Amino acid sequence: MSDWQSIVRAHLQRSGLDAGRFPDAVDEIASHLERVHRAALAQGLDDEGAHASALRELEGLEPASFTRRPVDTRPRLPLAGLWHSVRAGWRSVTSRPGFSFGIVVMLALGLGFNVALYAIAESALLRPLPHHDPGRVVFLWQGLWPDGDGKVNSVLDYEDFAARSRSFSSLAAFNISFAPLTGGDTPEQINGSLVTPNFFDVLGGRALLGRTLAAGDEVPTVDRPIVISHSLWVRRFNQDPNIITQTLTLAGQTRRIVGVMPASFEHPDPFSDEITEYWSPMTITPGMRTARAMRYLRVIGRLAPGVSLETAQAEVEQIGESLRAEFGILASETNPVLRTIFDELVGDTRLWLLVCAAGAGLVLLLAMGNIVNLLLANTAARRRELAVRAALGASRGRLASQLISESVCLSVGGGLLGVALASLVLRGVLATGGDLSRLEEARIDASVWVFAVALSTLTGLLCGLWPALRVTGRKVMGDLAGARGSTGLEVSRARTWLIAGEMALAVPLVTGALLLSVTLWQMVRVNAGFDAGHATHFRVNLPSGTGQRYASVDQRLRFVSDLEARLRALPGVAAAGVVSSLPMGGLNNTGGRFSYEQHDGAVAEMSAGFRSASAGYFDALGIPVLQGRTFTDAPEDSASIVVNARFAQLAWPGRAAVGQRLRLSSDAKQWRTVIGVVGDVRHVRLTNEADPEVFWPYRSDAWAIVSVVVRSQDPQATLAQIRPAITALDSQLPVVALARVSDIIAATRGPAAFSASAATLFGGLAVALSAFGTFAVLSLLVGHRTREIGIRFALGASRARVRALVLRDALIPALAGCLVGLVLAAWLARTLASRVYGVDPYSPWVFVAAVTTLATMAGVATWLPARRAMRVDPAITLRADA
Amino acid sequence: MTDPLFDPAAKKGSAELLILAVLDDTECHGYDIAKAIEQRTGGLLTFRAASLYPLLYRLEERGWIQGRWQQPSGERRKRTYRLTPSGRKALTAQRGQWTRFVEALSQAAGLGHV
Repeated sequence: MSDWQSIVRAHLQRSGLDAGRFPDAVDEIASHLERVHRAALAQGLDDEGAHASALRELEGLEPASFTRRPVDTRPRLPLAGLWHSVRAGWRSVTSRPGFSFGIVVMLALGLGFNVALYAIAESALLRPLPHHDPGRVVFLWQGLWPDGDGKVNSVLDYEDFAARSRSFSSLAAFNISFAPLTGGDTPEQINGSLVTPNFFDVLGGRALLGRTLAAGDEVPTVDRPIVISHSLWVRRFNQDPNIITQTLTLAGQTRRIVGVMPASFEHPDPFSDEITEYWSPMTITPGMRTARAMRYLRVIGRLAPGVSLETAQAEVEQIGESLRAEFGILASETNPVLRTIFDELVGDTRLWLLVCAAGAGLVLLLAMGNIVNLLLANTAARRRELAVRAALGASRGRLASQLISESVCLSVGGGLLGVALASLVLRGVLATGGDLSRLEEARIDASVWVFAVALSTLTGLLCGLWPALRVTGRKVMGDLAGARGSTGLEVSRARTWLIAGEMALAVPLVTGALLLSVTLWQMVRVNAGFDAGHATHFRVNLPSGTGQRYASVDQRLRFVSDLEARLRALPGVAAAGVVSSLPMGGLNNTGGRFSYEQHDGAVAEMSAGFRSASAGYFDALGIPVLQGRTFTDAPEDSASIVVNARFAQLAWPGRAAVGQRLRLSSDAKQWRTVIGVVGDVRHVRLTNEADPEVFWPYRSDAWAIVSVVVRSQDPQATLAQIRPAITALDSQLPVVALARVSDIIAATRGPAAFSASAATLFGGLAVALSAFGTFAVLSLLVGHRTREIGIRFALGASRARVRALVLRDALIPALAGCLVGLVLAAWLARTLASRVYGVDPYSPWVFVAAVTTLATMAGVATWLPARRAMRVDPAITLRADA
Repeated sequence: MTDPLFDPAAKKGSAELLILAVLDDTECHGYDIAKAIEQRTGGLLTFRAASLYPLLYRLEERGWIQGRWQQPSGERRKRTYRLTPSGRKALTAQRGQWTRFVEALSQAAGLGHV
C-alpha cells in the first residue's frame, strides 16, 4: 500500500504552497492519487502499473506551482509594454504611408510656426537683459505719444528731475551720436552715444578692459576720454590688449580710449537699431539749458534701494506738477512717465509675439481638429483588426496605448518637419522683422529642440486620446455587428461639430488677416506729403570741432553750397537741398516752443517741430508750396521762416500766414517773418498725422550733421554718382545712409508688412484647414447615410431635397461656429487696435468679409460630398441590404 | 499532431472556464472535476493533479469557488468544491468572451487587413 501522503508531501515541499494550507493540500492530493490508483486497478492494471499511473498525476508539478502568480523567469526590460506599443504604433504608421504623410504635413504646419515663435520668444523675452538687476532700471519720459513711444527730455527736464527726485540712486541721460572715424585705411562713419558720466553706473555695466566713464570726464580737454564697444575693438584695433590709453580720431578730434565694453553689453536705446560703438561724455553747456522745449535726451535711472516703481512714479508725477506750476509748462508737454527698461526695449515685441502666438496656436488647433477626425475615421475602419486583437488577448489598455503611440509617432514626425519649417520662418523674420528688438540672436538651439519635442509629444497624446477612449470606453466586439449601423452615424453626426469648432477658430484668423492687410494697404496709399519716388538721400557729418576743417559757419555753408552745385550738375538731377533731418530718416525730430503774433497783436505760443533747410530742399523732396515762397540762399533771407499748413491753420485760422511773425519762445529778440506755407509732411511715421512744423534757412544755424536730398528721374542711377561727387569735394568725409527715399519710407512699413504677411499666412492656413475638415467630416457623414439617402430617393425625394439635407449637416454647425468665431474676432480686434491704421478695428464690413470668405469655403468643401450623395443609386443601396 | 486549438497555451486560457462550467452543474471533488472534463471533451482535454489543484486553489482565492471538507464514513476525508455567486458571474462573462472569440476568429479568418 502506497503511502500517498508521504509521496505527495515530498513533491509539495518546494511547490510554493502556503504553509497553512500544506497539510490540507497533502490530504486532498493524496486522496486524488488514491482514487486514480483504484481506478487504474479497476481497469486491470497491476499494482505497479496503477502506482505509476497515480504518480504521473504529479508530473509537471514545478517549484512555485502554487504561488499566487506564475513565476515568469523571462528577462524583461523596464517599460517593455510601452516599447511594444511604440513599435506597434510605428509599424502601423509606416504601413499607411500616404495617410501618414498627409497628417505629418498638417502637423508640421501647425507645429512649425509655434516652434519658430518659441525661438523668437526665447531670444527676445526669456533671455535676460545683460544689465545688473535690470528690473530696477527705468526710463523717464515726459509723456507718451499716441502710439506708445516715450517723449524725450530736455536738458532742463533731466537736471530738474535729477535734483528733485529721491527715488533714484542715480539718473543719467544720453543721446544718439555719430561721427567719422578716421586714422585707419578708410574713414568710417560709426554710431555712438553721448552720455552723462554716470550712465554706466545706472546700468551696472563694467568694462572688459580699462574703466567706464567717471565724473570729470565731461570736462572738455585736449584728449577727452572715450569708451569703445567690443565690436569696434575687434574690427578696428584687432583686439589689441594694450588698447587702453591709445587714441583714436573721431570727427577730427583726438580721443583717449579709457575702456572697452564686453560683447554682451547692450546699449539701451528704444529709438535706434544702430549698433553703438562708442560712448562719449556729454558736456552740458549753458546753451543747452535755454529751452525746455528742446527735447532730445533719453533719461534712465536706477531705483534707490527699497523704492518701488509705483512710489517713484508718484514722485515724478509730483515733480512734474510742481515744474508745470513753476514754469507755466503745459500738461501735454511735461507729464512724466516711468517704464522699466525691459518694457521699453521688448514691450512691442511682447505684444507682437502674443498676437502671433494666438494665431499660431489657432492654426495648430485647427490642424489637430482635422487630425483627430482622420484618426477617428481610421480607427473606425480598423475596427475588425482591433476587435481581433482584443479577442486574441490584447487588453483595452494595450489597444489604447497603441493608438496613442501611432498618434505620437505621427506628431513627432510632424514636429521634426516643423523644426525645418521653423528654421525657414526664422530666416524670413530676421530678414523682414522690422523694428522688433532682440531678434538678432533667435535661432534653433537645444532648448528650442526640447520645446519642439515636448509640444509634438503633447500634440500626439491629445490627438490620440479620443480614438483611444473610443477603444477603451466601448465594447470593441460590438463593432463587428454595428459596422454601418446607427452607432457609426451617431459618431459622424457628433463630428460635424468639429466643423463648428474649426469655424470658430478660423473666423478670428481671417479677421486678423483682413485688418492687417488693409492696414498695410492704407499705409502704402497714405500721402506722406512729399514725393519719395524721385528722391535720393544721404548724410554727412562735417567735422566742426575747434581747428577742424568745418569749424566755422562759413566753412560749412561753403561746403553745402559747393555740394548742392555739384549734385545739381549730375546727369538727370533736377534739384538738391539739405535739411537737418529727413522725414522718417532716423534722426531726432527736434521741436520747440514758438511764440507767434495773432491778428490782435497778442502773442500766443505753440509747440512745433522745426528743421533747418536749404533753398533746394523743398524742390528736392517734392514738398508743395501752398502760399508765398521758400527760402533763397541770399543772406537777407536769413531771418525768413516757412511754416507748414497745419501750423498756419492753428496759428492764423482763415488768414494768410505769409507776412506773419513768430519766434522761438526762448529767444525774445529774433522775430522771423513767414514767407511761405508748405504742405504738411508726415515726419515721424506714416501713421502719424503731420504736426505743426517750422522751417528756417540752413544758413541760420549751419548744423554740422547734414541730410542731403537729391531729386532726379532715376534715383537708382543717381545713387551710384553720389559718393564720387562727395569724394571730389572731401575724400575724408564718409557718406552714410545712402538710399532712395522710397526705400527709406518702405522700410518704415516693414513691421506692418511683416505683420500683414504673417496674418495672411495664418488666415490662409485657417481657410485651407477648415475647408479640409469640412470636406472630410461631410464625406464621412455621406458615407454613413448612403442607405438612408437611397431609401429617400426610393420613396420619391427630389435631388434638391436630398442635397439640402446633406448641406444642412455642414451649414448648421458652420453657422454656429461662425457666431462663436465673431466673438473671438472681436477680442482679437481689440488686441490689434494699436497696430491697425486706416480702418476701424470693429468695422462690421471686416467681420462680414471674414464670415463670407469662410462660408464660401464651406460651400465649396461641401460640393463634392453633396455630389456624391446625389449619385446614390437607391436600387444598388437597397439590394446591398437585402 | 495536436490540434492547435487545444495546445497547452490555449488550454491554459480555457481551463478556468472548464472548471467553472463543471462546478456549475454540481459540487465536485477535484478528481471528479478532472474526470468530468475528460468525459465532456471525449478525452481530448485531461488535467493532471499537478495542474488541477494549483488552479483550484487560485479560483478559491479569487472567490469564484468554495471548497469544504467532507468525511464519508469509512473513507479518507475529501474536499469538494462548489461555484460561488461571483464564480457564476465570472462563468457567464467567460462564456460570452469565448463565444465572441470564436466568432471573431471565424470572421477574421476570411478577411485581410482593413
